[in-house]
Amino acid sequence: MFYVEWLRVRNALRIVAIVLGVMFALVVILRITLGSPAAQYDWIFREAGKPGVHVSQQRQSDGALRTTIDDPAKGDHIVIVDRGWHGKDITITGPGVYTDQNNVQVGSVGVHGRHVAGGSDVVQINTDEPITARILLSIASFIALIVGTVLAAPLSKENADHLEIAWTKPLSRTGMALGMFAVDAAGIIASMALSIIFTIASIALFELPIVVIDSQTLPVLALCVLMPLAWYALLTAASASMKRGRGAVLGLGWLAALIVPSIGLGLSAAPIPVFHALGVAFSVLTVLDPIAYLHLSMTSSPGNAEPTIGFAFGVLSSPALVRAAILLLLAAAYSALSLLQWRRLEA
Amino acid sequence: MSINISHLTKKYGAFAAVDDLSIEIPSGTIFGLLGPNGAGKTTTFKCMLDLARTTSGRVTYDGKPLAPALFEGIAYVPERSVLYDWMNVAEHVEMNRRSFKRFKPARALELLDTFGIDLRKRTRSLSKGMKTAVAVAIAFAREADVLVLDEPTSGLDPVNQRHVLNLTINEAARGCTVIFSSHQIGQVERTAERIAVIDRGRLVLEGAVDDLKADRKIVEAVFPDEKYSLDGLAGDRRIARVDRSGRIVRLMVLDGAPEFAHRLESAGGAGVRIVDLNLEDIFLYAVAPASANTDVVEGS
Repeated sequence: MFYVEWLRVRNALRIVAIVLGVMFALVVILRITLGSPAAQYDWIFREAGKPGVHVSQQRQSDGALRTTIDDPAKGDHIVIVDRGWHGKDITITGPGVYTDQNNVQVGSVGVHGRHVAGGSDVVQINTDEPITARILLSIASFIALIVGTVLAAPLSKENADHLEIAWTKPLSRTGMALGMFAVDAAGIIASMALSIIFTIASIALFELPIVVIDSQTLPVLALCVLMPLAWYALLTAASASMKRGRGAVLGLGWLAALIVPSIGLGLSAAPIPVFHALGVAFSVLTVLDPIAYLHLSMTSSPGNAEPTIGFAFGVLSSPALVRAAILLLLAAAYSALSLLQWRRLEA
Repeated sequence: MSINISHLTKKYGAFAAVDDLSIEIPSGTIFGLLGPNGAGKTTTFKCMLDLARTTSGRVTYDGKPLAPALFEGIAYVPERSVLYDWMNVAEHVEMNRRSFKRFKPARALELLDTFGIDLRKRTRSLSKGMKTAVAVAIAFAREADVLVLDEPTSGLDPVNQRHVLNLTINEAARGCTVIFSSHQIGQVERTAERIAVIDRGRLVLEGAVDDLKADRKIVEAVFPDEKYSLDGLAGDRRIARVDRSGRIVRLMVLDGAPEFAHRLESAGGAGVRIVDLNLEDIFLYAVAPASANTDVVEGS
């Protein structure tokens, strides 16, 4: 019954897969070209074979293999704790082993160092730095926003010359619209899954990715899934009655969605009453703008303070679960608005 | 499945596209809906299928109002192509297979092959006639109870036009009720059992094609000069129309043509003859605007 919508979703996902595939190929090239972020410390392993270097190994109680390398000639002391699939921790202590450029994290590989008084620096390399699921979800949510834009306005697409097909199927108009929404929603969520797989695979090219799931993961998951769905619903509602010109709605929608929060943020604290009133008006619009929630989902973290954005009546700085609930309401309201228009259309 | 259209009116603002239209279409009939451009044929079809909201009146199928489930048995071929440009022909067949339980994909493929349609082609690359052929082939593969065909031969070559008409007759023989419109009145005459002519949204003529042709005759006479009198004729309700062109008079009579021929002879007319009408004549008489030399008898 929803074959046309399924074809639209399939085509959109095919494009997403191609784009992510090309990006993955670029990451592979990058990996081959640059090597591992820990590659600059390959000398550690060469060090062990040199004359005069003392190497000892010992199995720890947790199963990790601890290797200690002492180079009396250079004054280096290296400890490698190899936990196999779960990565390595390498601690290097010695004169001049650390430069400020060493503090980096690429994927799950983190390099941290410090100068120690007396000339014996310390550098720690961890190949199992955790990646929070929130980061993955936020990236996926952004991809899903784009896919949601591509799939949005299904009612307008039918209204442009195809109502005679859509409305002569043995299904009510409401059933037809809800079915299309469901297929598109599945496509949007599938695009998130694709982008998560791509991100993890890209990280895995460097080291085993360790994704940390914590108490905030579920609310942020809800937020990241509902945001593109609410955005899709908003665009669908804005274009449901249109036979032509929905492309302008989709394009200008992004522009408006990005500009409105900026104006609201900029003017809400303005001392001039007129500007302040404008700021309040734009704050209201910001609450209705699902994209305004994107930045916040990317930055929300249990370890960090929530962003304190005072405009938009504090809605955007409320806990992730509350924002997810608001997005759910927005998605439902926009969908209802779309259905109202859809039921009133005429072929 | 019988169709009853009762006092159907569809207004766009003050303009009545369909005005108090009532038609009864018996089950298994091929019904031709005729009318000039803008007469309201397509709007009538759209109202029948709930694609446009009726202002008043109702349409029933076997006595029941249209419900979504009934579309399992109703196939519609619109006047203009509504196919998805970005989909290929095979995907349109698949879409129908997934939407209608009674759809016969093998039959659709057979018909498309007959029309010479390449299944792999995107519909945007098809000509107008080919798009019509795709829509018709899919509709005829639906095994529908009701076929609503709005200009189903539009853009087709004569061979395929004839093919569509034969398919239509076959569908009716199966028990399907077919209502169709066409500007090719010859096709309607060959195919339809009953017709209705609408003009400016109003029904101006309805009946069985054979009855309409049997009843309606032209009685033509030539008078010696233009000063002839038709006293007693113009008011007769059996005369639908009187056309005067100089010394020539043509009466379109609904009944009793020999009697009127005799009366014209008695009035001094010469060369009096009774002419049979084809459906095109009947249609043109029904919708042609009355000229200064035409008397249209009210109520006929």
